Amino acid sequence: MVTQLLARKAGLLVAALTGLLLLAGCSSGSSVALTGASWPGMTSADDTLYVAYSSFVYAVDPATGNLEWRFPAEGNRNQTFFATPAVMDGQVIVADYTDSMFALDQATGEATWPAPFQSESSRFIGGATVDGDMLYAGVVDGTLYALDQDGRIVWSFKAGRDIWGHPAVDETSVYFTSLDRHIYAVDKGTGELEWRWPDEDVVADDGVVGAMISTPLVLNGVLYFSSLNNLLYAFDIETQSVLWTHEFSNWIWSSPQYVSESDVLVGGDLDGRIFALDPLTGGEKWNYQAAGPVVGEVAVDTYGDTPAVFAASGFTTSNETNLVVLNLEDGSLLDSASVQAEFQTRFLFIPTNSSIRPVPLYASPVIAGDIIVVGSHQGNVLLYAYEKDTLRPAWQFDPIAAQ
Amino acid sequence: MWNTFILNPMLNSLLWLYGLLGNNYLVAILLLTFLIKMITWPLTWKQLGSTAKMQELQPELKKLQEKYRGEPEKLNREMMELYKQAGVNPLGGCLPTLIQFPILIGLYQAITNSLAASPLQLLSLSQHIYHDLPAFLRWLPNADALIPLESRVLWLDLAKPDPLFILTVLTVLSTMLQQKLMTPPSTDAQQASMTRSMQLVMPLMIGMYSIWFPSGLAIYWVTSNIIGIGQYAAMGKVNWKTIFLDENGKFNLGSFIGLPSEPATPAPRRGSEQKKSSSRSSKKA
Repeated sequence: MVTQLLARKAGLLVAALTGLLLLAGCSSGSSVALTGASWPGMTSADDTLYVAYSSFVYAVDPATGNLEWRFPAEGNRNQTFFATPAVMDGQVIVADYTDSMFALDQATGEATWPAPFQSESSRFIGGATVDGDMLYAGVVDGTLYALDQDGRIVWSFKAGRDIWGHPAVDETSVYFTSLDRHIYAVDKGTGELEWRWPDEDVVADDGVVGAMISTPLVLNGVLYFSSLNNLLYAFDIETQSVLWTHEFSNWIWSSPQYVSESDVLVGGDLDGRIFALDPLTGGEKWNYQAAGPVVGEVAVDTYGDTPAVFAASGFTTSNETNLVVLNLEDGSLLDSASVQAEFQTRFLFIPTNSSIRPVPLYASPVIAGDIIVVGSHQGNVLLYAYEKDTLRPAWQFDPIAAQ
Repeated sequence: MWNTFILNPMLNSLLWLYGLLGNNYLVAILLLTFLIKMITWPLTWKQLGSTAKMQELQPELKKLQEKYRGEPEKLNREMMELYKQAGVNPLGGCLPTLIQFPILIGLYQAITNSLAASPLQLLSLSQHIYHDLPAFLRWLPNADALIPLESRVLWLDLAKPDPLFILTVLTVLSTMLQQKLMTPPSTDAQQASMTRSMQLVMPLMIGMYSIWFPSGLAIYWVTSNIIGIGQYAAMGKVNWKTIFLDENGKFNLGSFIGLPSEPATPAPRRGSEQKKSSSRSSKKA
């Protein structure tokens, strides 16, 4: 009788737990899971690659893939880094996903500010922009901070909602986008508002302007930025008016790059369309359809002797390539690679089988010398390096093995 | 498959309702819940009908139990035969709850996806939104332009659990009430005990989920329960008096939360201590 009773109760408990597990447990994960709220932020400077991902910032030798240092020495689960590091005068500036910004010695990775700068209430998603001896960075509560090289606040400015992108800077102003559906210009010295566009409060569902998350590109008095209504804008700073818009079929996460030699803007959208536009008219010069969403900025360099666009993407099927090299002149495919990792399929958290498939590459690829590096937030490898001129694999960086 | 048929339609419907209702996420969830209940109403109607038939069969089931006492296999056969003749599925009462599970999971994903707060969540959202609608649907709000949603209503951030646990209490109470009203009484002691356990465990389990999950999901659950009770009442099947009555028809507050009623005549037990305890219990009763 007691056994029956226990069996009944156990049955109910199993039913309850099964419900919970069904909500969360049918999943596919990597053998050594890299998990997080975002993908790695990478930058290259002075022959070193700086990578912010999860609990650490890594300095990696791009020639060999060897770890030079990592910060902090011991990881803290409550502290995560995703924002792209910035380099300023021998220091690496890194901002974390809670509320702190650190300056690290470029050679040793040791913190150089007496204490990290802490925003009042909010986390960093975009990293800092360096302009001379000043730093500009926005946080999720909509505050843009201007800091001096010692991490002290010079001024701050409050926008309506989250700032996710890096600010852009010219001789007089700082420009940044916000999820409040505006692009702002503030005085570089004082932090006073110069203008915002649109000038009026935007009604969310009028469809005119969507939320903005991209880093603006400033070029010859024109701002190029995207919004989540699938439009890329060219905006005249002097007249504060839209010069042209180009509509895509999905969002443009990162602003395009300008290539002066060819006088084109190149970028990609979340439907995987890699494009080259005329910066004067917004007219499309060519496009190439990648397998999955292009989230990061594209990189421009040479492939052998040919000027080329290097783009990393997500994927939709297991045999697709997620790293492509396109001819800058006409968008034709020069080379491609499928960056893959081993994944284990789990049912109710129990591994059932494993498979090798492409990893989503959302981080902007970084070119350092003859090496191109792409980063992923899935699989057991954080960084994959290829020879830039051949796309032959060079090295991989496994953060757990590198400890 | 899941995304195409469950998550994407639910997510975009939620966004459109949000846009059509003046960017009010709470009202959008309430209305989506109402629409889902209306869409699944024919199925629910059928299952509730089955439950009602089960209740009608109770006297005959009781007779069978008395007739085949000590012959469980034969009793089982006869009961199945009775169900078959009456065209009743004995699990009919459970099915509406089970059917709700995929909908609940879909809505959970729709709520968590639509309230994207991190880069990966927002990126995931971009893959679920209908970016380009056919011409006949262009009157609907542009879902792209609605992002990010305003999720704060009163004390709640609908993307996060209720910090005051008010929705947790409402979830538990409304689930208990719905189960109490819609579960047919059982004549079999073992089955009755099982039903009582379910009436206690299920609401607590749902309440536990509501502590961890976004409060938008708890709002769905409470609304869904209330509409479910309303639908059952519309069928004329609700007997409000039974809420606080035990299986013997006596008033018992504990009956609402599935506690067993105290036995009128305690079973004889071994040992003097047990006898004393039994005697006290008997006096109380």
